[in-house]
Amino acid sequence: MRILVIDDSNLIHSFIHTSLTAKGINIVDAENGKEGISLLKQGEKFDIILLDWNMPEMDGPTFLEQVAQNNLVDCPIVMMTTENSPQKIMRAMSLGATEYIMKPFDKTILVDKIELVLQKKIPA
Amino acid sequence: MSRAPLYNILAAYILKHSGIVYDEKNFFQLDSRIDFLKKNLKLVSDVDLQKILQATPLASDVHVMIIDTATNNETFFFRDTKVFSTLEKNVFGKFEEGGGKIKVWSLACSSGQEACSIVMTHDKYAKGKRSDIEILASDLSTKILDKAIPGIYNQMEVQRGLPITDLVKYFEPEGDQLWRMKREYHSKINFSQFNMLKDPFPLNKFHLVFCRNVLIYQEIAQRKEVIKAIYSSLVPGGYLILGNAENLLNLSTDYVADTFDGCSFYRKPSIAKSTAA
Repeated sequence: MRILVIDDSNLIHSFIHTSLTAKGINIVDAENGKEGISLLKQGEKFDIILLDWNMPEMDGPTFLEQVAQNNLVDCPIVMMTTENSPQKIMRAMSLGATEYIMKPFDKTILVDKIELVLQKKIPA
Repeated sequence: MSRAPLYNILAAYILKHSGIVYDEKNFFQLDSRIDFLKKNLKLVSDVDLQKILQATPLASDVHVMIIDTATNNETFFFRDTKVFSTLEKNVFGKFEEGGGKIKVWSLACSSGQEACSIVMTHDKYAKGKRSDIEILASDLSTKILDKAIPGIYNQMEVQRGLPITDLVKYFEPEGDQLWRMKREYHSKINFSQFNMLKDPFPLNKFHLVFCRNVLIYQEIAQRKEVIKAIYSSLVPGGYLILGNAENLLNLSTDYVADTFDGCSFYRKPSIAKSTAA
Protein backbone atom coordinates (compact mmCIF):
# COMPACT_ATOMS: atom_id res chain seq x y z
CA MET A 1 0.00 0.00 0.00
CA ARG A 2 1.27 3.51 -0.88
CA ILE A 3 0.14 6.61 0.96
CA LEU A 4 0.94 10.21 0.02
CA VAL A 5 1.02 12.55 3.02
CA ILE A 6 0.75 16.24 2.15
CA ASP A 7 1.35 18.42 5.22
CA ASP A 8 3.77 21.21 6.15
CA SER A 9 4.25 19.82 9.68
CA ASN A 10 7.24 17.58 10.36
CA LEU A 11 5.45 16.35 13.49
CA ILE A 12 2.60 15.00 11.41
CA HIS A 13 4.91 13.29 8.92
CA SER A 14 6.90 11.74 11.73
CA PHE A 15 3.75 10.60 13.54
CA ILE A 16 2.28 8.99 10.44
CA HIS A 17 5.53 7.21 9.64
CA THR A 18 5.72 5.89 13.18
CA SER A 19 2.07 4.82 13.11
CA LEU A 20 1.98 3.12 9.74
CA THR A 21 5.41 2.08 8.48
CA ALA A 22 5.53 -0.98 10.73
CA LYS A 23 2.41 -2.21 8.94
CA GLY A 24 4.35 -2.52 5.67
CA ILE A 25 2.89 0.66 4.22
CA ASN A 26 5.03 2.77 1.89
CA ILE A 27 4.68 6.46 2.77
CA VAL A 28 5.64 9.32 0.46
CA ASP A 29 5.92 12.83 1.92
CA ALA A 30 5.12 16.21 0.41
CA GLU A 31 5.31 19.53 2.25
CA ASN A 32 2.52 21.30 0.42
CA GLY A 33 -0.07 20.95 -2.31
CA LYS A 34 2.33 22.11 -5.02
CA GLU A 35 4.74 19.27 -4.26
CA GLY A 36 1.82 16.87 -4.19
CA ILE A 37 0.60 17.97 -7.62
CA SER A 38 4.13 17.64 -8.97
CA LEU A 39 4.35 14.03 -7.76
CA LEU A 40 1.00 13.19 -9.31
CA LYS A 41 1.92 14.80 -12.63
CA GLN A 42 5.05 12.65 -12.68
CA GLY A 43 2.73 9.66 -12.74
CA GLU A 44 3.11 8.55 -9.13
CA LYS A 45 0.22 6.37 -8.00
CA PHE A 46 -1.15 6.05 -4.49
CA ASP A 47 -3.81 4.07 -2.67
CA ILE A 48 -4.77 7.03 -0.50
CA ILE A 49 -3.78 10.66 -0.03
CA LEU A 50 -3.76 12.37 3.38
CA LEU A 51 -4.06 16.12 2.87
CA ASP A 52 -3.63 19.09 5.21
CA TRP A 53 -5.68 22.27 4.70
CA ASN A 54 -3.45 25.22 5.54
CA MET A 55 -0.08 25.01 3.80
CA PRO A 56 2.23 27.49 2.09
CA GLU A 57 2.59 27.49 -1.74
CA MET A 58 -0.66 25.58 -2.26
CA ASP A 59 -3.31 24.79 0.34
CA GLY A 60 -5.55 21.73 0.58
CA PRO A 61 -8.66 23.09 -1.17
CA THR A 62 -6.56 24.37 -4.09
CA PHE A 63 -4.88 20.96 -4.34
CA LEU A 64 -8.33 19.33 -4.49
CA GLU A 65 -9.44 21.73 -7.23
CA GLN A 66 -6.31 21.05 -9.30
CA VAL A 67 -6.69 17.29 -8.86
CA ALA A 68 -10.31 17.46 -10.03
CA GLN A 69 -9.64 19.79 -12.96
CA ASN A 70 -6.77 17.67 -14.25
CA ASN A 71 -8.19 14.26 -13.31
CA LEU A 72 -4.98 13.44 -11.49
CA VAL A 73 -6.10 10.75 -9.02
CA ASP A 74 -8.45 7.83 -8.74
CA CYS A 75 -7.80 7.14 -5.06
CA PRO A 76 -9.53 8.47 -1.94
CA ILE A 77 -8.32 11.77 -0.46
CA VAL A 78 -8.66 12.25 3.29
CA MET A 79 -8.40 15.76 4.71
CA MET A 80 -6.31 15.99 7.88
CA THR A 81 -6.76 19.42 9.44
CA THR A 82 -7.53 21.63 12.40
CA GLU A 83 -10.43 23.11 10.43
CA ASN A 84 -13.44 21.53 12.15
CA SER A 85 -16.53 23.54 11.23
CA PRO A 86 -19.33 21.80 9.31
CA GLN A 87 -18.94 24.47 6.60
CA LYS A 88 -15.26 23.65 6.07
CA ILE A 89 -16.00 19.93 6.15
CA MET A 90 -18.74 20.29 3.53
CA ARG A 91 -16.46 22.45 1.39
CA ALA A 92 -13.73 19.83 1.41
CA MET A 93 -16.21 17.07 0.57
CA SER A 94 -17.69 19.14 -2.27
CA LEU A 95 -14.19 19.63 -3.69
CA GLY A 96 -13.60 15.88 -3.74
CA ALA A 97 -12.37 14.79 -0.32
CA THR A 98 -13.62 11.34 0.62
CA GLU A 99 -13.17 11.53 4.38
CA TYR A 100 -11.98 13.94 7.00
CA ILE A 101 -9.72 13.75 10.06
CA MET A 102 -9.83 16.61 12.53
CA LYS A 103 -6.61 17.43 14.38
CA PRO A 104 -5.67 16.46 17.02
CA PHE A 105 -6.08 12.78 16.32
CA ASP A 106 -4.43 9.53 17.33
CA LYS A 107 -3.27 6.37 15.60
CA THR A 108 -6.61 4.63 16.13
CA ILE A 109 -8.47 7.39 14.33
CA LEU A 110 -5.87 7.45 11.56
CA VAL A 111 -6.11 3.70 10.98
CA ASP A 112 -9.92 3.69 11.35
CA LYS A 113 -10.34 6.37 8.68
CA ILE A 114 -7.91 4.70 6.27
CA GLU A 115 -9.72 1.37 6.71
CA LEU A 116 -13.07 3.13 6.26
CA VAL A 117 -12.16 4.65 2.90
CA LEU A 118 -10.30 1.61 1.62
CA GLN A 119 -12.96 -0.79 2.96
CA LYS A 120 -10.30 -3.18 4.15
CA LYS A 121 -8.26 -3.83 7.26
CA ILE A 122 -4.68 -2.65 7.54
CA PRO A 123 -2.41 -5.49 8.78
CA ALA A 124 -1.75 -5.15 12.50
CA MET B 1 7.03 35.12 26.86
CA SER B 2 6.52 32.43 24.22
CA ARG B 3 4.54 29.41 25.25
CA ALA B 4 6.32 27.30 22.62
CA PRO B 5 8.59 25.36 25.03
CA LEU B 6 5.59 24.40 27.18
CA TYR B 7 3.54 23.39 24.14
CA ASN B 8 6.35 21.16 22.93
CA ILE B 9 6.84 19.50 26.29
CA LEU B 10 3.13 18.92 26.87
CA ALA B 11 2.47 17.73 23.30
CA ALA B 12 5.38 15.28 23.53
CA TYR B 13 4.09 13.95 26.86
CA ILE B 14 0.57 13.51 25.52
CA LEU B 15 1.87 11.77 22.40
CA LYS B 16 4.05 9.40 24.40
CA HIS B 17 1.39 8.42 26.92
CA SER B 18 -1.86 8.57 24.97
CA GLY B 19 -0.84 8.40 21.32
CA ILE B 20 -2.65 11.63 20.47
CA VAL B 21 -0.67 13.96 18.21
CA TYR B 22 -0.80 17.75 18.32
CA ASP B 23 1.13 19.63 15.65
CA GLU B 24 2.35 23.21 15.68
CA LYS B 25 -0.83 24.48 14.05
CA ASN B 26 -3.07 23.17 16.80
CA PHE B 27 -0.82 23.80 19.77
CA PHE B 28 -3.25 26.60 20.65
CA GLN B 29 -5.75 23.84 21.46
CA LEU B 30 -3.50 22.97 24.37
CA ASP B 31 -4.15 26.38 25.96
CA SER B 32 -7.30 25.23 27.75
CA ARG B 33 -5.48 22.09 28.96
CA ILE B 34 -2.59 24.22 30.23
CA ASP B 35 -4.96 26.58 32.03
CA PHE B 36 -6.76 23.60 33.58
CA LEU B 37 -3.49 22.08 34.80
CA LYS B 38 -2.24 25.37 36.23
CA LYS B 39 -5.53 25.96 38.04
CA ASN B 40 -5.70 22.45 39.51
CA LEU B 41 -2.06 22.39 40.46
CA LYS B 42 -2.35 25.93 41.87
CA LEU B 43 0.41 27.29 39.67
CA VAL B 44 0.85 30.89 38.63
CA SER B 45 3.15 30.74 35.65
CA ASP B 46 3.81 28.59 32.60
CA VAL B 47 7.38 28.16 33.83
CA ASP B 48 6.12 26.51 37.02
CA LEU B 49 4.08 24.04 34.97
CA GLN B 50 7.02 23.44 32.66
CA LYS B 51 9.19 22.48 35.64
CA ILE B 52 6.58 20.04 36.89
CA LEU B 53 6.20 18.45 33.46
CA GLN B 54 9.95 18.02 33.19
CA ALA B 55 10.15 16.20 36.53
CA THR B 56 11.20 12.58 36.23
CA PRO B 57 9.15 10.68 37.03
CA LEU B 58 6.02 12.79 36.87
CA ALA B 59 3.81 12.55 39.95
CA SER B 60 1.05 10.04 39.25
CA ASP B 61 -1.80 12.46 40.00
CA VAL B 62 -0.33 14.96 37.53
CA HIS B 63 0.06 12.22 34.93
CA VAL B 64 -3.60 11.20 35.35
CA MET B 65 -4.68 14.83 35.11
CA ILE B 66 -2.77 15.35 31.86
CA ILE B 67 -4.07 12.19 30.22
CA ASP B 68 -7.64 12.86 31.35
CA THR B 69 -7.64 16.33 29.82
CA ALA B 70 -6.22 14.94 26.59
CA THR B 71 -8.37 11.85 26.15
CA ASN B 72 -11.71 12.35 27.95
CA ASN B 73 -12.60 8.60 27.91
CA GLU B 74 -13.36 7.97 24.25
CA THR B 75 -15.62 5.07 23.18
CA PHE B 76 -17.00 4.07 19.83
CA PHE B 77 -19.89 4.72 17.52
CA PHE B 78 -21.03 1.85 15.31
CA ARG B 79 -19.00 -0.66 17.24
CA ASP B 80 -19.17 -3.89 15.18
CA THR B 81 -20.44 -2.26 12.00
CA LYS B 82 -22.05 -5.52 10.81
CA VAL B 83 -24.63 -5.29 13.61
CA PHE B 84 -25.82 -1.94 12.33
CA SER B 85 -25.81 -2.88 8.66
CA THR B 86 -27.84 -5.97 9.64
CA LEU B 87 -30.34 -3.80 11.48
CA GLU B 88 -30.74 -1.56 8.46
CA LYS B 89 -30.91 -4.23 5.78
CA ASN B 90 -32.51 -7.20 7.50
CA VAL B 91 -34.09 -6.45 10.84
CA PHE B 92 -35.87 -3.11 11.16
CA GLY B 93 -38.20 -4.05 8.31
CA LYS B 94 -39.47 -7.03 10.30
CA PHE B 95 -41.20 -4.76 12.79
CA GLU B 96 -43.17 -2.48 10.49
CA GLU B 97 -46.41 -4.48 10.42
CA GLY B 98 -49.08 -3.00 12.63
CA GLY B 99 -47.53 0.45 12.71
CA GLY B 100 -46.27 1.94 15.95
CA LYS B 101 -42.71 2.73 16.94
CA ILE B 102 -39.91 0.20 16.93
CA LYS B 103 -38.96 -0.12 20.57
CA VAL B 104 -35.31 -0.70 21.43
CA TRP B 105 -33.47 -1.09 24.72
CA SER B 106 -29.78 -0.33 24.96
CA LEU B 107 -29.07 -2.12 28.22
CA ALA B 108 -25.80 -0.94 29.80
CA CYS B 109 -25.67 2.03 27.41
CA SER B 110 -22.50 3.55 28.92
CA SER B 111 -21.92 7.01 27.42
CA GLY B 112 -24.63 6.57 24.83
CA GLN B 113 -22.78 5.93 21.57
CA GLU B 114 -24.64 2.66 20.99
CA ALA B 115 -28.03 4.32 21.38
CA CYS B 116 -26.96 7.16 19.07
CA SER B 117 -25.72 4.63 16.52
CA ILE B 118 -29.12 2.88 16.60
CA VAL B 119 -30.89 6.21 15.99
CA MET B 120 -28.63 7.01 13.03
CA THR B 121 -29.06 3.53 11.56
CA HIS B 122 -32.83 3.73 11.86
CA ASP B 123 -32.83 7.14 10.18
CA LYS B 124 -30.98 5.65 7.20
CA TYR B 125 -33.39 2.71 7.13
CA ALA B 126 -36.46 4.92 7.41
CA LYS B 127 -35.73 7.11 4.35
CA GLY B 128 -38.95 7.29 2.37
CA LYS B 129 -40.77 5.06 4.84
CA ARG B 130 -43.17 5.79 7.65
CA SER B 131 -41.17 4.35 10.51
CA ASP B 132 -40.31 5.65 13.93
CA ILE B 133 -38.21 4.43 16.82
CA GLU B 134 -37.92 4.97 20.53
CA ILE B 135 -34.92 3.89 22.53
CA LEU B 136 -34.52 3.27 26.22
CA ALA B 137 -30.85 3.66 27.14
CA SER B 138 -30.05 2.50 30.63
CA ASP B 139 -27.00 2.01 32.77
CA LEU B 140 -26.17 1.21 36.37
CA SER B 141 -23.82 4.18 36.65
CA THR B 142 -25.41 7.59 37.17
CA LYS B 143 -22.02 9.16 36.46
CA ILE B 144 -21.86 7.69 32.97
CA LEU B 145 -25.53 8.55 32.39
CA ASP B 146 -24.70 12.18 33.24
CA LYS B 147 -22.25 12.03 30.35
CA ALA B 148 -24.69 10.26 28.00
CA ILE B 149 -27.79 12.38 28.59
CA PRO B 150 -26.73 15.63 26.86
CA GLY B 151 -25.51 13.74 23.78
CA ILE B 152 -22.29 15.74 23.69
CA TYR B 153 -19.04 14.10 22.56
CA ASN B 154 -15.52 15.35 22.12
CA GLN B 155 -13.62 15.50 18.87
CA MET B 156 -11.78 12.24 19.49
CA GLU B 157 -14.98 10.36 20.28
CA VAL B 158 -16.84 11.53 17.16
CA GLN B 159 -13.96 10.47 14.93
CA ARG B 160 -14.03 6.86 16.02
CA GLY B 161 -16.42 4.78 13.99
CA LEU B 162 -18.36 7.73 12.61
CA PRO B 163 -18.04 8.57 8.91
CA ILE B 164 -17.66 12.32 8.40
CA THR B 165 -20.95 12.50 6.47
CA ASP B 166 -22.77 11.08 9.51
CA LEU B 167 -21.03 13.54 11.82
CA VAL B 168 -22.16 16.50 9.75
CA LYS B 169 -25.70 15.15 9.26
CA TYR B 170 -26.46 14.06 12.81
CA PHE B 171 -24.31 16.33 14.99
CA GLU B 172 -23.61 20.03 15.37
CA PRO B 173 -20.62 21.81 16.93
CA GLU B 174 -20.98 22.68 20.59
CA GLY B 175 -18.12 24.84 21.80
CA ASP B 176 -14.45 23.94 21.84
CA GLN B 177 -13.99 20.69 19.90
CA LEU B 178 -17.31 19.29 21.13
CA TRP B 179 -20.19 17.93 19.09
CA ARG B 180 -23.80 17.46 20.15
CA MET B 181 -26.25 15.06 18.50
CA LYS B 182 -29.03 17.13 16.95
CA ARG B 183 -32.16 17.27 19.06
CA GLU B 184 -34.45 15.83 16.38
CA TYR B 185 -32.44 12.60 16.61
CA HIS B 186 -31.29 12.55 20.22
CA SER B 187 -34.83 13.11 21.51
CA LYS B 188 -35.64 9.55 20.41
CA ILE B 189 -33.51 8.29 23.30
CA ASN B 190 -34.71 8.22 26.90
CA PHE B 191 -32.06 7.63 29.53
CA SER B 192 -32.64 5.87 32.81
CA GLN B 193 -30.69 4.22 35.56
CA PHE B 194 -31.23 0.45 35.71
CA ASN B 195 -29.64 -2.36 37.68
CA MET B 196 -30.02 -5.49 35.56
CA LEU B 197 -29.33 -7.72 38.55
CA LYS B 198 -31.88 -6.14 40.85
CA ASP B 199 -34.51 -4.08 39.01
CA PRO B 200 -37.62 -5.67 37.44
CA PHE B 201 -37.54 -5.98 33.66
CA PRO B 202 -40.48 -4.57 31.68
CA LEU B 203 -42.53 -7.39 30.19
CA ASN B 204 -43.22 -8.04 26.53
CA LYS B 205 -42.17 -4.59 25.40
CA PHE B 206 -39.12 -4.40 23.15
CA HIS B 207 -38.47 -5.38 19.54
CA LEU B 208 -34.71 -5.23 20.15
CA VAL B 209 -32.59 -5.48 23.27
CA PHE B 210 -28.87 -4.68 23.01
CA CYS B 211 -26.80 -6.26 25.76
CA ARG B 212 -23.32 -6.18 24.31
CA ASN B 213 -20.01 -6.88 26.03
CA VAL B 214 -21.55 -6.67 29.50
CA LEU B 215 -22.50 -10.20 30.49
CA ILE B 216 -18.90 -11.36 30.11
CA TYR B 217 -18.15 -9.56 33.37
CA GLN B 218 -20.78 -11.55 35.28
CA GLU B 219 -20.86 -15.03 36.72
CA ILE B 220 -22.66 -17.73 34.75
CA ALA B 221 -25.69 -17.87 37.05
CA GLN B 222 -26.21 -14.12 36.77
CA ARG B 223 -25.78 -14.22 33.01
CA LYS B 224 -28.50 -16.86 32.76
CA GLU B 225 -30.86 -14.76 34.89
CA VAL B 226 -30.33 -11.64 32.81
CA ILE B 227 -30.77 -13.48 29.53
CA LYS B 228 -33.99 -15.02 30.84
CA ALA B 229 -35.22 -11.62 32.02
CA ILE B 230 -34.44 -10.07 28.61
CA TYR B 231 -36.47 -12.86 26.99
CA SER B 232 -39.50 -11.77 29.01
CA SER B 233 -38.91 -8.15 27.93
CA LEU B 234 -38.90 -8.96 24.24
CA VAL B 235 -42.06 -9.11 22.16
CA PRO B 236 -42.50 -12.38 20.22
CA GLY B 237 -40.22 -12.15 17.19
CA GLY B 238 -37.99 -9.63 18.96
CA TYR B 239 -34.21 -9.94 19.09
CA LEU B 240 -31.46 -9.98 21.71
CA ILE B 241 -28.19 -8.62 20.31
CA LEU B 242 -24.97 -9.63 22.07
CA GLY B 243 -21.35 -8.59 21.58
CA ASN B 244 -19.32 -9.91 18.68
CA ALA B 245 -17.54 -12.56 20.71
CA GLU B 246 -20.55 -13.58 22.80
CA ASN B 247 -23.15 -16.29 22.33
CA LEU B 248 -25.84 -18.14 24.26
CA LEU B 249 -24.09 -21.50 24.43
CA ASN B 250 -24.85 -23.10 27.80
CA LEU B 251 -26.80 -20.00 28.83
CA SER B 252 -30.21 -20.39 27.20
CA THR B 253 -32.11 -22.64 24.84
CA ASP B 254 -35.13 -20.33 24.61
CA TYR B 255 -33.88 -18.23 21.71
CA VAL B 256 -33.45 -19.05 18.03
CA ALA B 257 -30.26 -17.77 16.39
CA ASP B 258 -30.89 -15.96 13.10
CA THR B 259 -27.67 -15.30 11.18
CA PHE B 260 -27.36 -12.42 8.72
CA ASP B 261 -24.09 -12.26 6.78
CA GLY B 262 -22.22 -13.90 9.66
CA CYS B 263 -23.91 -11.76 12.32
CA SER B 264 -26.10 -13.59 14.87
CA PHE B 265 -29.21 -12.06 16.38
CA TYR B 266 -31.11 -14.13 18.98
CA ARG B 267 -34.85 -14.22 18.38
CA LYS B 268 -37.66 -14.85 20.82
CA PRO B 269 -39.82 -17.22 18.80
CA SER B 270 -43.31 -16.04 17.90
CA ILE B 271 -44.65 -19.26 19.35
CA ALA B 272 -42.95 -20.07 22.68
CA LYS B 273 -40.46 -22.93 22.43
CA SER B 274 -40.99 -25.81 24.74
CA THR B 275 -38.07 -25.96 27.17
CA ALA B 276 -38.96 -29.37 28.50
CA ALA B 277 -36.08 -31.81 28.22
